[in-house]
Amino acid sequence: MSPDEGDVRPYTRGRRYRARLWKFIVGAVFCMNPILCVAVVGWTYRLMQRSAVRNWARRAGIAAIAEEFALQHDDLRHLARLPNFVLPQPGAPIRTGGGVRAGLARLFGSFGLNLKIGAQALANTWVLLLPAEVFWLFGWYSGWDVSFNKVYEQFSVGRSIALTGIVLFCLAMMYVPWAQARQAITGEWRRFYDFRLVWSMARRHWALSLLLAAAYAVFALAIVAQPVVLIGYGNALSDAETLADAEIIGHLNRIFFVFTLIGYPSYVALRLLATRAYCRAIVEDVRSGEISVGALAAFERRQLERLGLAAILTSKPRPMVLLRAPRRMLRGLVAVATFLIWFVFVAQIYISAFLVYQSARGWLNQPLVQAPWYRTIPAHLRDGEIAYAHASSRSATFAR
Amino acid sequence: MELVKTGRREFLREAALGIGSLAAGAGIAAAESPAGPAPLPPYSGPNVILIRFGGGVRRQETIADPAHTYCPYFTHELARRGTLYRNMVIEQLEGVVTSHGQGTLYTLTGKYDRYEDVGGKFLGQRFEAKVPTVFEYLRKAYAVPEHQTLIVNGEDRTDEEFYTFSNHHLFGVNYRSNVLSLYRFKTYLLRRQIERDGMSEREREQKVEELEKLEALDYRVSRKKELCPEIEAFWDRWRQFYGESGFVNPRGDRLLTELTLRAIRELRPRLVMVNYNDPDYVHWGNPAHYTRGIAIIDEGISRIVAEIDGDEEYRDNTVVIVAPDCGRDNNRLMPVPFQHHFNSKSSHEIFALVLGPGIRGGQVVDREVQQADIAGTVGHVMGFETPFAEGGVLEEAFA
Repeated sequence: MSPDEGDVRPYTRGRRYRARLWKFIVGAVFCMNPILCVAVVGWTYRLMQRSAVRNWARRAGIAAIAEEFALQHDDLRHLARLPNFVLPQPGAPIRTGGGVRAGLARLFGSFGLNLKIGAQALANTWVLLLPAEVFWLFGWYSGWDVSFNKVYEQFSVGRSIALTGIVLFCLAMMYVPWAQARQAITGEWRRFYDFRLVWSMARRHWALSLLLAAAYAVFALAIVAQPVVLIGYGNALSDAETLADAEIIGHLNRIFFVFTLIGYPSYVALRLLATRAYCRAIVEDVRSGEISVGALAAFERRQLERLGLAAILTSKPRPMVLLRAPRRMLRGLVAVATFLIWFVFVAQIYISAFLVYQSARGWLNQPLVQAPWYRTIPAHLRDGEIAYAHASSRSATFAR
Repeated sequence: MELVKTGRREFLREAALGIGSLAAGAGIAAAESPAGPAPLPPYSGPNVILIRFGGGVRRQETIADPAHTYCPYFTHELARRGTLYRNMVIEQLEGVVTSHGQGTLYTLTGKYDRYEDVGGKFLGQRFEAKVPTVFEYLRKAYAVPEHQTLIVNGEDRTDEEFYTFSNHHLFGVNYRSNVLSLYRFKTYLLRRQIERDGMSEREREQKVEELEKLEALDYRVSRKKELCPEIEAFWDRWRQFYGESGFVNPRGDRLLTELTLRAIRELRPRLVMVNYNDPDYVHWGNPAHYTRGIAIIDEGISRIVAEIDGDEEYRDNTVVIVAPDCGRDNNRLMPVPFQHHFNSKSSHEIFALVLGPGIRGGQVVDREVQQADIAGTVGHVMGFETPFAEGGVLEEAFA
């Protein structure tokens, strides 16, 4: 491995906007495919790391030259510009030597990295959320079997499974956004499982946890909007019965792309919000001595020390005895409110399932939490999907 | 104190009755007048069993393709015995909605109308018809006792218990039909339990409260008027057979089949409407709930027809009409295209099968006919006029 000597100088303002627009378009297109969508997750994690460095630089009072700060350090040069989706990242270490892998890395270095980071991110998130989501899946089926069996024997089985899933999910989501931020910023998948550190940070910063939950709940409104559009648009298609499957898929693709244009930036915005919350919390906790520098991951320790943010400023005075109980009570109330907001988030998922049921996929992947993948082609149109692909490639050929 | 409470309740019920169906006014006055109108002629025509292939079903899963039907008995066997209308529709009119309560009332009254829940409840289906139902027409024309005009209703849709009479000033509560359902059984059971000795005061109070809550749902009919000895006897026998727990009797649409079979044997009804509903559970998104529901109805229809065929008085003297309350969406953008019925074109498309004496067998009609034609057809079969129905008669069916 050797550092890439490519151009990493900061963009001019105009070029920076063009670059952002380009990344937005490429990301949205990638979100239409389940594999490429994993790369979007990885790209977002890399963006979070870059954002963290900028955030800390701003906190250290060098906001104006955040890019220069990155350029001054070899290990940060690749963060000077927005991450790439496919091409190798300027300033990032590159694989030397010959061979196919090195050749591919030189051509598609960022794509491979995005896929790897994305897969790690999804795997970690699913470790915590999949049990709850599987509970939802089976709870929904078993719960609605009550339609046939009525509210008599064992009617509570399905309901209990679903409720267990909901509680597990809400509890897990009080941890997951923080842990995702930690994994992204440190660049180490194992840091997702620093349970004690992450959980204690989330507990000390309940207001930020509450804010994160509220942001998720608001952005999730699009989750409910999508089925409403599918129902309305689908029923309004006057010639739907005579259209070929491929034509229906064309309609679906347009709808899903529009939702991706909303969902993908929402996904990124939530990650950046989590990044800001994490950066703020970790600096405050390190400075107040709540988290020791030794507990930090190598990447964050290095940056905080460089920026002078790792020193304990003052040891935080313990609150007066009389104030401890009200503070504890307030913290408890905020924790309950956070839980309830996650409950609202789940309610939106359930309403969405009621409106347009998407079987396992609708439960096991939440586009704002796991992969921002909105496009679902119904099973009864799968044959048409092949025809659609042929038709699309043909028209692309003609267009050329 | 209790007396006052009961009195007020009775008063409110009577008041509601008065407001809800002034009516009945005319009906009650006529019935109770000492001079009274001339006695009604006895009914001697064919019986009619109206089966709501309900919960909303599409043609695709039922009649469209015999090779892929989920109701094989209906499609392969029963259809051959009667006239199948493959192109029945619910007319696309302003305010005409494709749902269960509405479809049931279009069928029973022969008129498309805009219905709103009387309590303004969201998604509520507590409707009151403005024009008479076929039950009222029949009972006003002939001396058919209340227990021989029946709606057999499911456990989930209590609102549909109360489609037994309209608010029409010439008809109303005195010509209403009766209802067989678990809701009715529960009120019967509670009354019996309250009468029984050996219950603690607290337990009795709880039962009374529970009963009041259930009876309050039927605000248009006073409790005294509700009690019908034949129906009470029906429930006595039901209780002896299935007990009181609710764990033994069939559930869902199988319950409706069982109630209908017992009604045919014990109450000898002249006009029955069976409100099947199970396929509607596909609203929760599991397609198997839909197809399972269709199969359950198919099995139910086969048992009802077998019961008719095996009963000397009903065989060759009973016309069966099967029609859905509404269709379902055919929204190809959705993973389950038929999950809902949001007034789409497909949810207006249904079908009907008419069979029995005087009905052509093995006939398929592709002419577009209306769901509202069913009421007129029932009137035609049973020999009464349906002046307030807007639909016509399914004429091709008659030999």
